[in-house]
This record gives sequence, C-alpha cells and structure tokens, in this order.
Amino acid sequence: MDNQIPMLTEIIEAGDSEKSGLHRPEINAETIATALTDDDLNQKIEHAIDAVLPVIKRRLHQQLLSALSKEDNQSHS
Amino acid sequence: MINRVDFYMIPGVDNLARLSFACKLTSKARSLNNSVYLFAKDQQESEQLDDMLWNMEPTAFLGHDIKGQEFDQIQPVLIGQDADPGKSFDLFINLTDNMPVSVENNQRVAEILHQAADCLTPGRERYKQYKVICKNSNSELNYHELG
Repeated sequence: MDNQIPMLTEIIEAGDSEKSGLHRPEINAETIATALTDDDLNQKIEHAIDAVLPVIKRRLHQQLLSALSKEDNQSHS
Repeated sequence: MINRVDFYMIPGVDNLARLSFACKLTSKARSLNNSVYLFAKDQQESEQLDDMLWNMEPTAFLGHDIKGQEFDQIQPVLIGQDADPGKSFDLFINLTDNMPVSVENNQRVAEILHQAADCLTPGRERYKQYKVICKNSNSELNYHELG
C-alpha cells in the first residue's frame, strides 16, 4: 500500500506530485498503532503534558479569580 | 487561637523533601477545607513552593498564590515571607528557622524539620518555645517521626 502522499504546497510550487523527496507519511491506522506503542514517543508526549499542565492550571486560576472579582464588583455597584 | 502544634521530622537532609512534604500537608488540609499559610524563608523558596503546588498530581487543582499578588487576600492557600500574614489561617506551615511572631493567631501550626544540623538546632529551640505556648493555651504539642 502506498502510504506516501505529496505535500500540497510542494505540488503547487513544483507542479509535480511525483517529484521525489517531496512526500510525507500518510497518517493511517497503522501509523497511529505504531505511535501508540512507541515508548519513546509516549514518554515525550507525557513530558509535554506534564510541562503544560501547571501552566494551564495557573492561568485558569487567574482567569477564574478575575472573573469572580468582576462579578463581585458588578453586584456591589 | 492556637489549639495544636505538630512537629514533623522527615528523613535525610534534603530541603526539597521538606517543601514536598509541606505541599502534601497543604493538599490534605485543603481536602478538609482548611486555609493554609506557607511561611517560606525567601522569595526563591516561595516561587519553588508555587511551582510545586501547581505541579502536584495532574488531576489535582490546588488554587494558591504568593503574598503580594492581586488576589492574595482571598486565597485559601497563601505563600509568603511575612511572619505575620495579616490574617489567621487554619494551618500555618513554618518553613523558616525562626519562630513566627503571630503564630498564636492560627489554629494549627506545622513545623517540618529535616536532619541537617542547621535545621534541627533552631527547630529544637522552637520546640521549647512552643512547649510554653501550648502549656499556656492548653494546646496539643505533637511530634511525628516520618520514616
């Protein structure tokens, strides 16, 4: 099965979808299955989530307090 | 008004373990809906605690702030370097080597010590002072050695 598809921008630029080296892997079930069992990739994803979660929590907390503060000010005015 | 003081002795000499235990105590206190003040020794430690609290379990959400921020007066968990946080808390966690001046205004106090001499020696001094405070206020003074 051909799991390579040409990149659209490169087809437009080159006008030749058959040109070698201008292909990317197709995302299919096989690719996903391979990725899911790739410990190295999974670890990288876990690290990325671990890194972003505290940032999300902190921002969410600030936004929540700002919203509550505005609501409180409006109810007092 | 103070009604209980707990000394926690953790193994090792790692200050990070001391802070980590403080975060666990904070989490436990919040699960009981108690307000917490974390008395840090300096700005760096305050920021370290701030990061550690946001980095606790992925599904946990322990809202808190450092004293001096916009909403610090309404935070159930506050980190600061002022011995007197300006209001009373259900739990006051002392992470400095000093006796907090207004400690008696808080319901409970937790002192977390590790095995390093520069932590133990002032800790023993504070234990003596708390002994007097607890005797005068008829409060509990507990000591926990953690494995």
